[in-house]
Amino acid sequence: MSPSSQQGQPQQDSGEDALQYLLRTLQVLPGVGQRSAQRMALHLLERNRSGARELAAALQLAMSEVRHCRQCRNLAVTELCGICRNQNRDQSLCCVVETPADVMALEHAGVYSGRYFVLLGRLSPLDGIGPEQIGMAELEQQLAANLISELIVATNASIEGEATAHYIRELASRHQVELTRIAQGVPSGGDLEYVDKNTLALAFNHRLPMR
Amino acid sequence: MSTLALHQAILLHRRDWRESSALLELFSREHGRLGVIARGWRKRPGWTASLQPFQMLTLGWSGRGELLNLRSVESAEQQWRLPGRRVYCGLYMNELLYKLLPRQQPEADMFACYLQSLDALAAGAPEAPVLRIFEKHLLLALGVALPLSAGDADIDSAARYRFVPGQGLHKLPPLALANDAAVISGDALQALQHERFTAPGQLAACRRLLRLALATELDGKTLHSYDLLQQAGS
Ligand SMILES: [Zn+2]
Repeated sequence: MSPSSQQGQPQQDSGEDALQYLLRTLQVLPGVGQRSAQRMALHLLERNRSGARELAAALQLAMSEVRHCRQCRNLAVTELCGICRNQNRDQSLCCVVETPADVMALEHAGVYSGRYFVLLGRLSPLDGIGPEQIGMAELEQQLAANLISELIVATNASIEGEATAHYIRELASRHQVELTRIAQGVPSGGDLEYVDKNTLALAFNHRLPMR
Repeated sequence: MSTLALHQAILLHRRDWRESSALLELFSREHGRLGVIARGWRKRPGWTASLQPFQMLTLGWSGRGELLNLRSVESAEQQWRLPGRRVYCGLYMNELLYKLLPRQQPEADMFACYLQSLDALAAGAPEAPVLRIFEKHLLLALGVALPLSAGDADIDSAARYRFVPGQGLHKLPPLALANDAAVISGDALQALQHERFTAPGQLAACRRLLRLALATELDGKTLHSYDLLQQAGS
């Protein structure tokens, strides 16, 4: 998807004035309905017009500049994102995640110094999402080009995440790339009695020798 | 408040709906396939963990007609672990049920067949026979004219048959020149009827026939999980 295809001239409805247009478009934001849109619009118009102009400019700039990294598919402002360009990171170690939010979470935790591959979704046949939609062809190319020595699967612990992990396992074994998966289990600080049954089962299945 | 009736059901598919809700497509023991809305499900840790496919759920819902609201979720009493590509098989069955069963029509036999298929897949039984038997029962539940129930009229194991969508099976004259996907041997049909596959080739022949019959029922809808299974080679 090219960023420019998302751009466009204002699509103001006929008979809609500038205020009504703003109230309607604010509702594209998650969790924003009519009431919140009204509150936001009034705030911007009555109390913070300079902030509003800046917000408009920032949105405009982001929509034209932000794209997907050519290598890892994460959001990026350059063809290759900062993580993929960073030579201080281990570029042969690649962690597969479902969304850019997952990358942010892992980066925030600061425990990983390889690079990523962002699926931008997960295999979900009932939603019509197959291997092509989640970039499996691109991942396979990178495996075939020997760019990756270890793949770390960090898809969600859902059935679709499981199906996706299995697909990646097949790719990795076809290209003889080492594959690992992040462990699943009891959250730190979590009381066992409040952990759900499925998580407990996973924690038992993935138990480790004590050192 | 009156007590809520509880229902046993298995989740076929969950789709985000509006901000914080989800639309659940369920296959229930008593009411067949139905859609139930789970409002604010993300904010309920018990719900997010339990509302996954391949586990038996005990659910309470309210409302009538097509607008049902989830009220309670009891954690799974039974779940099926489908490792590796068996998860594709499970998703394939879910996609078929989701796309082909009409809503709110009791399907007790099909529900039983679905449970048996999940049992077999989780226990490591060979995948192909499980899927062929599942497909057969689904076609029978949809009322497709296939004389494949155990008690149906005799099939001549030495003859060949042609499947004609909307009509059923026609026995071919002994020397008829026909060898397309719609033609199947009586021997393979018998194997499917009795759900016992013995000779090589029977499963492949049944797969072609069932695929054809399912395609007619799907009426142009794509089966995405079928592609996954194809790539995985079952
Ligand atoms: Zn990148």
